[in-house]
Amino acid sequence: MSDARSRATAIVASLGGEAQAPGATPNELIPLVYDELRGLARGFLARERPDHTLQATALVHEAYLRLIDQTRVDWRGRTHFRAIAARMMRRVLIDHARHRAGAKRGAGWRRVTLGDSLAGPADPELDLAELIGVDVALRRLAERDPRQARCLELRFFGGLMTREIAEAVGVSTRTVEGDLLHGRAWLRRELSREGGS
Amino acid sequence: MSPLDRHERAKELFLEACERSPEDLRRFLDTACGDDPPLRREVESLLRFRGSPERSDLLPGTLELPSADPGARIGPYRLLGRLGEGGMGEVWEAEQREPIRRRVALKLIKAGMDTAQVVARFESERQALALMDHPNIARVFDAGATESGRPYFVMEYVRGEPIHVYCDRHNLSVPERLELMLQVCEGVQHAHHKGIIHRDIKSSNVLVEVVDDRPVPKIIDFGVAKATQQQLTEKTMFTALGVLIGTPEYMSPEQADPAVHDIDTRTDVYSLGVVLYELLVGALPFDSETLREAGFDEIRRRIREDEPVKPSTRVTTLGEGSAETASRRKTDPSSLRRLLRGDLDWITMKALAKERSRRYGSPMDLAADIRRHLAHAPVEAGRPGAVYRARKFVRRHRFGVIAGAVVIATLLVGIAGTSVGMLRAKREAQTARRVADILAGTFTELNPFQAGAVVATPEAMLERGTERIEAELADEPLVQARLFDVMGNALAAYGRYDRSRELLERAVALRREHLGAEHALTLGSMTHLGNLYWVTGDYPASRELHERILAIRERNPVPGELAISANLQSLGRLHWKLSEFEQAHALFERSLVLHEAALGPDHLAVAYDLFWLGTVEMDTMDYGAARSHMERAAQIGERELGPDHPEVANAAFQIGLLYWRMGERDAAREKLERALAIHERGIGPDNPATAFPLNELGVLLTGEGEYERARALIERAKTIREKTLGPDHPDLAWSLTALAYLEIETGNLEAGQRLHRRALEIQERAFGPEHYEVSRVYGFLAWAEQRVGNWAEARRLRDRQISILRNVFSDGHRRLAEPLYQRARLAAREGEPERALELLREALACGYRGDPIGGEDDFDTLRRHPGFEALVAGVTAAR
Repeated sequence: MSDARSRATAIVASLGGEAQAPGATPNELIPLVYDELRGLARGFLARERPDHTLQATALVHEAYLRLIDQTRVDWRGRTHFRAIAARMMRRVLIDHARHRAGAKRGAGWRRVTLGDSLAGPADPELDLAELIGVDVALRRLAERDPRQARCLELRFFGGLMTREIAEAVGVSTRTVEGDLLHGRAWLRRELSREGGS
Repeated sequence: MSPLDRHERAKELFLEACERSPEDLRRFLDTACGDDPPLRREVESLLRFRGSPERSDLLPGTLELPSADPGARIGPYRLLGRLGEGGMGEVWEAEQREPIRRRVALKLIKAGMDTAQVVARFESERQALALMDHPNIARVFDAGATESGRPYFVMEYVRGEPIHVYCDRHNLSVPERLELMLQVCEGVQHAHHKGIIHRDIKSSNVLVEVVDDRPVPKIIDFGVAKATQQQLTEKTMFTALGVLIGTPEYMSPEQADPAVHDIDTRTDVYSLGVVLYELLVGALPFDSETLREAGFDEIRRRIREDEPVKPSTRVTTLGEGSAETASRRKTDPSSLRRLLRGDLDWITMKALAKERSRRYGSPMDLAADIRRHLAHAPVEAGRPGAVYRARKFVRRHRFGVIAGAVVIATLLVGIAGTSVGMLRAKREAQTARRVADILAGTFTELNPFQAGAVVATPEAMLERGTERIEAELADEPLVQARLFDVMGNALAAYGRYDRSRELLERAVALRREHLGAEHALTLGSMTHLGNLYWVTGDYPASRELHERILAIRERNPVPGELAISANLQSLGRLHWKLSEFEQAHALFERSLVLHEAALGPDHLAVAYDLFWLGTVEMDTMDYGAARSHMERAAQIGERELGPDHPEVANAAFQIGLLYWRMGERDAAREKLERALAIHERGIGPDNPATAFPLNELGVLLTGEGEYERARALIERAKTIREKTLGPDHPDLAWSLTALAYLEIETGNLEAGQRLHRRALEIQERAFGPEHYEVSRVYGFLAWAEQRVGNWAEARRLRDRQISILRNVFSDGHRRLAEPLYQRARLAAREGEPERALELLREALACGYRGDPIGGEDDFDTLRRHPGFEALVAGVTAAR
């Protein structure tokens, strides 16, 4: 763990700032983050009642706290970390949802809260089937507008703020706001079609 | 317009539309998409799903708290400088002016607690806290709330450093450390007298101050834990953002148990035990790093269930740290180990007992035992421990102990009888009396009412008797040999292998010297020794011995004598264990022929041979033959022994494994369930034999996705094995790999691999690094890495597995087939078609019969490769 921690910190520090750690690439971070998130989600699964809700962005934050020595990383490093973690979080959730759907029985969280309310204030949680729906819809969106899909991913699965998304994607905050506003409406519509209404 | 452009255009219009007032909207849409109805429908439908206006960015970044500043005032206190920061908050040096002027330490608790409740809880204890007055306790003055609503505590300012830091920095010896520990116990005892439980004793809460050149430990933070601690929940241990705020390393099992609400003074005794452990060993009973890596439930489980390693053992396993730890205690590692072994191990472990009733009743009792140790008097922890162990042993093996006691009684009487008889025939009455004296003496010592009685367990009885036989019968080699032989076997049954081996080897040597190498008694002792080698995993030695015995017996055949079949079976088992299946099969067949001829087709001995034949056939994947042999064996067994006999359960277990291998999972499950049920009713739920069906059923259910039951079963198997076989037994490794499989299947790769590595350590220690069992664990490790796509690591582990197998087995051995096949997949995936092909060919040459080769995605890179196509065609044709 401490190895993973110091390695992850070095990579993230180099991503955010001036000092390039030799040979550090974001790709190296991916398995570390993925393992951490899986472990956290698994821990969550172990300690919660089956009907409990998993908060995606809280896990990302927790992974950050556990993997990164914050004294050595600035806010840009943190943004980069969470941008990578968002994608991993999505994968962890979808793996779990698929696995759940395939499993005959057994416990595990069945509902998920994303870093943004997609379903609306009345019911901010998604069940696993809806989560798969989000994933599928996001992939469809990515075919039309990859950047927009990425912005939504960062918001939903990483909980990044608008200016952080702008930093991570490399566009203006205004563009991000537009992408999010439209993308959310687009997704809601797609999901409502899935639901058959 | 392409779909991409349409999407982009619709987005633009949607965003503009969002800016418009409702009245304006229709006109806007009319102009913007007048000639494009689909575009208009798109924008309109999006607008319907627009939802509420966005709740701007409030999400992350809430962790930072405004820190206080030097000079700030909190109540009557003025902050001077920050002393430190911990999980719960910050500690400041502060100045009080009213009503008295003094330096104090002010602990400012992090926001996020119910301040009113914290203060109220403190108030309820304030009276009692005020009564505490002891040189080893830092006084608690006050508690309150800041204007911003954070709770704070005010206490005596101690100019010192944490006790473990102090001890290490001054290189205090073990006795010096114990002297400090005595003072700590006294302080805690004083608090207990005043009705205060600390609840959060840890080394960093014990500061050592130097007063008149003497170190004086002072315990700080009394009252804080009680006031700030709710019942331990996830919320109190982790903040919402996942920061660990408690100190699980020092937490008592009952504190880690949400069902326990009555925390009492013995919780502090436990934590004192942890501090003591740390001072002695330089490490915590549960390693912080690994503990904190684990999830909440796992942390709690470990605290409640895992037995920490004894201090004397732990100091030898700190790697390079061992020398450092020892030199910090003015000694060297092996002396330190000797110093800790015995008293200090017992004292520490007694303080750390999981059950409160087994701990010291109070800090004073703990201190008293430490004093006894310092005065070289016998410690309390030792004696009740032995009795306790015996009682625990009896509880756990009710069946086994009764049997064991009967065996020992018969054995001792038998030894006395036959030895005396034998000696009397030789008219050596004096020696006969000496044997009788030894036995009588041993029994006298065993009488717990006798002064000086120290032993109470069956093992101890045997050990004591043996010592006296050694010392007092040196001039009667044959009597001694016979006694060594019997005692050696009995000690082996209790797992005292080293001693058993020593005695059996001496029995063999004595008999060989005095009776000759081919005498039946010499051969008998050799057989016992060979079986012991088997039990301890020394297969080459066992094999060598059994082959020698077999050769002697074959040279001097006795018609109708069946002793030879015992050697055939032993050798058969050995060859099987060494994966030499052809030889094993031939030996069991020979034994079967002998038994059938002498005893008829329905004898239990025949069933035993059949059963082993089936086992060998299972490993050579000759499933049809295995099935018919095993089922026949089971029938005989059930008829001869009844449906509830443990052997019947063992047979059902093995048949279950066979069905499982054959892919008949439901039938397998039924057999395993049956084996489990019989064992649970018969030999009991805590018997090591019960662990086998528990474990394998757990693995089977993991594959079925029934994770909860699987976990419960495997955990039970693991606990049984830990308790009955100890932490280093190879069988335990099977439970660890089973649990690892479950963890990985449920997405917890890291925990899974950690378990695999523990299993690996055990197997390597038991069998040496180049062994089939070790290679299997490498296979599991590789499989897990492969599963998450860590290809490089998977390849490294696979290569290690294969290299071990190549060392252990000859070329073309069946055990190489599956690993080679998996390695071929890796090579194919990494774009090495020639290498992959070569490996595949070798796998097939070793008899690979697993998945159809054409069906794996991993061989995509080999498609259309002529060699590969030919190979697949060849395999398909062969099937």
